Amino acid sequence: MVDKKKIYNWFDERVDLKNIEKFLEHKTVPYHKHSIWYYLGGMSLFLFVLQVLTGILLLLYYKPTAESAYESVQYIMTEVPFGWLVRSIHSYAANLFIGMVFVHMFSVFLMKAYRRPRELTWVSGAFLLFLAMGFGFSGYLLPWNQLAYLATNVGTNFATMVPFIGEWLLEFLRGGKEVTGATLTRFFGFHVAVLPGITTLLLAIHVLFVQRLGMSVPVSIERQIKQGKAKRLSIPFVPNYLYRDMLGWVLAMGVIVLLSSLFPWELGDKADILKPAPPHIRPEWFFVFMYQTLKYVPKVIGVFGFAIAGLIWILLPFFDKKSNRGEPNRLYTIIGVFVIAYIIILTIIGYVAPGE
Amino acid sequence: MDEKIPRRDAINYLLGAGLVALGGATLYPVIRYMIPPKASGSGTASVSAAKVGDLKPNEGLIFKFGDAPAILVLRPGGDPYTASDYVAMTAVCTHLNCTVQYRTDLKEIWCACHNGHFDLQGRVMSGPPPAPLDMYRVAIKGNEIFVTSEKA
Amino acid sequence: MRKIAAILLTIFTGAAGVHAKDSSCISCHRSPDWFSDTSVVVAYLSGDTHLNFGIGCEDCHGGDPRIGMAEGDPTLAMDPAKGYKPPPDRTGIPAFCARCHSDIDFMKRYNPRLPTDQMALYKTSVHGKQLLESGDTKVAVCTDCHGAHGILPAADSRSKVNFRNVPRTCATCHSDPVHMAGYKTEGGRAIPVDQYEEFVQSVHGKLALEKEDQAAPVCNDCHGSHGATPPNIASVSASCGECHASNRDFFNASPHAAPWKELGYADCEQCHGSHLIMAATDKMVGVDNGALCIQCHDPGTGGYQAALTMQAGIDSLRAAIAAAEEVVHQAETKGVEGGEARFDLGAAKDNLVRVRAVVHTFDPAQVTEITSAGIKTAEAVRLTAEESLGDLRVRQIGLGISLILIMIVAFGLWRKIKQVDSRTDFTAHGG
Repeated sequence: MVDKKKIYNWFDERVDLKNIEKFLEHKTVPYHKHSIWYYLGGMSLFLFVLQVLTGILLLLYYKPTAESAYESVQYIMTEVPFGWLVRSIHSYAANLFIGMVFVHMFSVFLMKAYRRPRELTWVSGAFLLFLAMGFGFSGYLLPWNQLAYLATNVGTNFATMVPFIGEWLLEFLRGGKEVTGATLTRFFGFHVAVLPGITTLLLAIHVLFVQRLGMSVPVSIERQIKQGKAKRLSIPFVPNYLYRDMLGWVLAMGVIVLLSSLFPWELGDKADILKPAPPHIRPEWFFVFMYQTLKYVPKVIGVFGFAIAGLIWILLPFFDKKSNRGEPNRLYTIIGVFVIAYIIILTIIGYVAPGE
Repeated sequence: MDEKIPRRDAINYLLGAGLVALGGATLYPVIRYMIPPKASGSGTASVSAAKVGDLKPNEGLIFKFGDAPAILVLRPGGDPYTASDYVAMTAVCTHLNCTVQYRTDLKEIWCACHNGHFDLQGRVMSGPPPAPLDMYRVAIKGNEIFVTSEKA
Repeated sequence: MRKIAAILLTIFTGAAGVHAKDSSCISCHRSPDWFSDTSVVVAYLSGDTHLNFGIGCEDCHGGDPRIGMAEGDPTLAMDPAKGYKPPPDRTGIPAFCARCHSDIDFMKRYNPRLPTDQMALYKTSVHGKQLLESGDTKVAVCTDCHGAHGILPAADSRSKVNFRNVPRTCATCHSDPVHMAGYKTEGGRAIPVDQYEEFVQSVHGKLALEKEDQAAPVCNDCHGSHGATPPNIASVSASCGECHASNRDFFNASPHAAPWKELGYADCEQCHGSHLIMAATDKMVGVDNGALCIQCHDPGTGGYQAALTMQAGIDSLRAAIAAAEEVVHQAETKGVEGGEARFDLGAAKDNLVRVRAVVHTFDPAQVTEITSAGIKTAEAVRLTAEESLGDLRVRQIGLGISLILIMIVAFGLWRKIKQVDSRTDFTAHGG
């Protein structure tokens, strides 16, 4: 019989298990009527891990060349046992991940959780969203089907709007003047090496910030506590909060498996560079609000507008003096609601409005 | 308190068993996924067309090469263990895309649709086919006969 | 030294003939001082196939090119005593060329694979008969198609007898109403001059002239070149059958073969035309508007019924293939089919191609046999593809199991949360 105590001691001596234990024992999470939003971060993390795992599985069979990318995905879906499941999970979870990150960000914004001292958590999170969109954009092309090919054509074309280095940037993204097999190989590199590397680093920093600073309690709750109208409640991270997290993860897994089995992610037709573009090309849903906006305003203004708006969005916490003082900030709430409404409405228009 | 202990145990057992089963249900597809399927990989680069011994001398065999048929022939009098005694070429006739076959009586590749004849180098001997059949390279590895789209 | 070089040169360029550099014919006929028209030599020197084989002027024209220049009297080279003969008139041209080209032993030394029967064939051709028997010099002689000096091999794309240029070459005379006026067919009808216009629109003309497909027939592939004659009624199917062999065989064994002979129909031409042959379509068979069968077969007759049966067979095969393709494509885009079905469907498409040949048996039984086989394959492929689409059902079992497990775990977690919460003091903050 192995002596458990002995093994414990052996590890404890080397990695200071006792300290970790103590830390986990004492880690708590605030508990109040808005604490449901706390789970979104953990949910995003779970989906990201799911992406990494299914992504690694896809790498076993995927071939990143124009000649065989489509065929290899077809092979994964039809020949490899459960390949359809792995690929569908990867596709559904990808979209769910980006959606989750969006909701996570807006909930943080509306609860003013970015306020001092969590500005850097907010900034790192915003960059993680951009990375997630980069994942989506680069991953969309990899099955090398017609829709993805056309969407990538349109998407990369916006690079030319960047002053001075536009042409260069376009060629850098496409690996040439046109979207070709070179683009595919390049996007593959971004998708499985460059982006995961940066994301992992940034994610570690993001989680570390959350850990160092703890969860932010919303201004309204904080005021109630200060006024003695409510009690400061919290629950232990282990096991109470962790069980809740796990419940969410398991249910998310159920939804993804359900979708993947009933509606396996489609493969489409193989990309044909010679085929003319159909009239209604649309990028992936999380780009649609930007794409639709560019139909109403001059492209240059639109692209710059979004660049500047994005920058302001990242920097907003630094100017929110009111929230920092613990006072409600109606203006920021209105801005947040406006941005959410704008994105939702433009996205809907993008899907229902007839194309040009 | 005493009554609660068996209930707590029941939940623990249920949760534990559920997690183990779910883990198994997750691992099963993952492991099945990782074992490469019998059908050869995607793409048309190289395909295991047959096993040594599947073909006797002066016999032909149609196999799937990518999405299109191809034909493997062991020359009359050829040695089943010698790669150079096999020839492989596309089985898609250059006339109207019918699938060609090996005629053991004529020792030729023959298309039934319009009576096109090809020699064992894929060249048109008679009939309407306007162009020769593309030849593939044959290699034997162990017990398997591989056909590659690299020019022979 | 120079002498050795000259000898070597002579050996390499061929034993016969004096090298162009040393030929007084060339020196003189190339010089604008002596001749206002130097085109003959220019053409010869620009790559005439004879030049490449080392055959000099004197080998056809006689005389001695080694003399004349030094002596200052070019006529010395063209001394009839030295074998010089003036160029032949049109009637003499075929015999002039045939001196070598009909000489098997001579030709073997230069181009062993080149036939030597051109003169013999020419004598059988309409051109040859007109020229040699009736003395009509308007007809084509060797030089009209091949040129006289600057003759290129037929494989050379610049040659007038290269397959790309043959239609134009024949059309020089045959599309010229003035030139062709007065010529009659055997039956006494005027010879048409629209063959070229028709040919360029035809499936053969498009292939040869637009796609530059060497396998497509041009004028001489059906009419012959040196022995050019119109194929007569008996030989039409032989001509077409050179390429369309299976169609010829099916037709010749068909119930149409005998009545065609009786009625004096020109085999294939009766349905497909001659110079204006269009790509055959499935619409040609059957009883619909535009179908050819009903030109002779009236409703209620056996032939009409046969046409109807064959049309139905081909149509249903096409429909079955289209239906299968639709489902297969759907299954492919959904990612449940990976080319296996499309591969199998190839067999049904083979049947469609085959039946388009077999239809020339005009035997509904044979046609239906092939179409039924094809329909069966296509149906099977469609069913398999539909099954693959419905294969999602098999997946649903696995889905059910995993969902049940997920629900169990979720339920367990929920109970566990209740349990740990009941033992937790929410007001006790950690840290």
